[in-house]
Amino acid sequence: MSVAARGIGLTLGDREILRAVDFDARPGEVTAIVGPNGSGKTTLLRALTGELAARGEVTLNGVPVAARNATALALQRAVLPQAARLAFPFKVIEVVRMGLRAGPHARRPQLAERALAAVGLGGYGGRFHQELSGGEQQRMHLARVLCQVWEPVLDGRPCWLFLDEPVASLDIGHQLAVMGLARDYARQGGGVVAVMHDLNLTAMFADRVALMKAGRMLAQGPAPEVFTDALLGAAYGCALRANVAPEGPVPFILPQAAGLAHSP
Amino acid sequence: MSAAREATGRGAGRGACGDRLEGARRAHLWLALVLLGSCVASLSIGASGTSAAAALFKLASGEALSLTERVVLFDIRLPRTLMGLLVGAALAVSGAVMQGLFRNPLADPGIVGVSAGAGLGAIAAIVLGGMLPVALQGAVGPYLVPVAAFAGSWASVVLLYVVATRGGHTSVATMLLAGIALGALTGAVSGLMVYASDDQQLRDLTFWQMGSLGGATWQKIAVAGPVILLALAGAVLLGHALNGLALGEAAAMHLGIPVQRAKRLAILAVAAATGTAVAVSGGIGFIGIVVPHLLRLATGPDHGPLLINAALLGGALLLWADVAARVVIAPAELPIGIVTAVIGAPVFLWILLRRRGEFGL
Repeated sequence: MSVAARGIGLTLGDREILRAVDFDARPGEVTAIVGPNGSGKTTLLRALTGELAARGEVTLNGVPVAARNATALALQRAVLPQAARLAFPFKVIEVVRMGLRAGPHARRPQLAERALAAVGLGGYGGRFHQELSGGEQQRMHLARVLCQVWEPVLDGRPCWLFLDEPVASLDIGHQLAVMGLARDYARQGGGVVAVMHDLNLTAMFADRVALMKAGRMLAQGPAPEVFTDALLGAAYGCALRANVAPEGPVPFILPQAAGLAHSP
Repeated sequence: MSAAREATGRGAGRGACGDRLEGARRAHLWLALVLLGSCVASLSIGASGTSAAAALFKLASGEALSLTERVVLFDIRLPRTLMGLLVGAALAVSGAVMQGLFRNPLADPGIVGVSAGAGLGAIAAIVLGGMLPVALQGAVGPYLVPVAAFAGSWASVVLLYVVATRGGHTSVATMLLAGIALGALTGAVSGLMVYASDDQQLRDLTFWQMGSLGGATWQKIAVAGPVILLALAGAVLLGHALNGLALGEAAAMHLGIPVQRAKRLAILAVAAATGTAVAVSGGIGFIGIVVPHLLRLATGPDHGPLLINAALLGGALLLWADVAARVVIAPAELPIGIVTAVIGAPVFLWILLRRRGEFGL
């Protein structure tokens, strides 16, 4: 009962986007995929969700993703895209209900309001989606996705949230709230796979981190093991220093520039 | 813009959110009543002065209808009314499905060249049909023009989709420009066909190109009716899929929608409905853009109820356009395409003006 990818490869034209990537995510954990721009994070996520047909094999809860149709997949996993442009003037609640209808909880209409409240948009249901700010729209789509797989565990099987940069256009308060939601979902037995850019947020909320570079998997493991000066430097091509706060084991990362992490 | 903002102020609570979908469903009944009234008007208004209501009253009281009344009502007006209903529904639903498929409210079979493609098929069938062996002509006779029009509209939708859509997103500018190119190309080939046609064919083509319900016969209804009804039934099944596609193809797939199957069904339904409508009534434009737009303003964009409402309102609107075409310069008749263009073209410009920032035009 996990997400497992073996030997994932994808070539577009003469460019190799993913090269023999192995990836694992377990239910009960938040697994973050990090890496520089163009390293293949989103492409890997698209392969994991079944959106993209790639070489190799991806399994979701033990069954190959390629062997399932879209309807069956939608009952077990929901996907938040990096950006969703919605045509036509739907109201916020109508957008959220699209997720509700796709998942196993279509007969629980009250979940739409609860999902909106969970992302801090309680009372926004009657507004038009195009009138929300970018960050609010992102949270509206998160509510839609949450609604689709509301119960982290259903019939003894974990459900999965795949999030592509879920906090990209959010302020720090909402970043923490959204990552908290993801962690709670995992703590209740669901699985979360998130593509992330913010390494410090990742260190705070992810149980496991997958670090990618140029279409390859550089390292996978708990944040303290992956966020080392050497691995981060190799991935991002700049000097980064992983520090540990005195009060806990969570690392935080500072760039070694402008004297910010100057060692005497 | 203003309608959207006003509605926002009203609908912040939960009840108001649910109301829009319920309202759209309640509209089925109201629009069905409007359609019924339109049918009575269409049957009652005309050059001869025979009234459907009076005739029904006569029938109910056991009185026999005169020969003139029977001919006017059952051989002339009833097929015309039924044809108007079918064609109006076909064009409005085709517009709504295309707009859902292309993810923008400007996609209309007339504007983006699909009707022109169907027209080319129909013209080719009228002009070249005579070259078929006589035995074959007898066998395929009434079906040749509709089938050719269907082929023409299908090829046009597919071409348009391939040209204007990339990665599940449609460029509005590319779609409109491709529509212009498609219209020009089909227009040129159609012109060539007209040039090569004989006198009888020319008469058929002239009637046909202007767009009219005047040629409605029971035989045409027997051919077009089942195809249009089947296409409408297929289209109505697409409500959930088109809602999902409003988020883009990838998001629709994540919502469990079999995207490729839904797209194929949408294209087939549009091609069959538009192709058949064009084959029997010629070039009637703008129904496909006006009707879905009005309905979205009134009851929201949910394609489930929208597609049913579009069929009802499309039928009613075309019947009234036909009544107008019959009475404005009575006893002569205006081509109905002129009436729908006079109503529809300003609506098209209005949508364009309201949303030009959004389209980058």
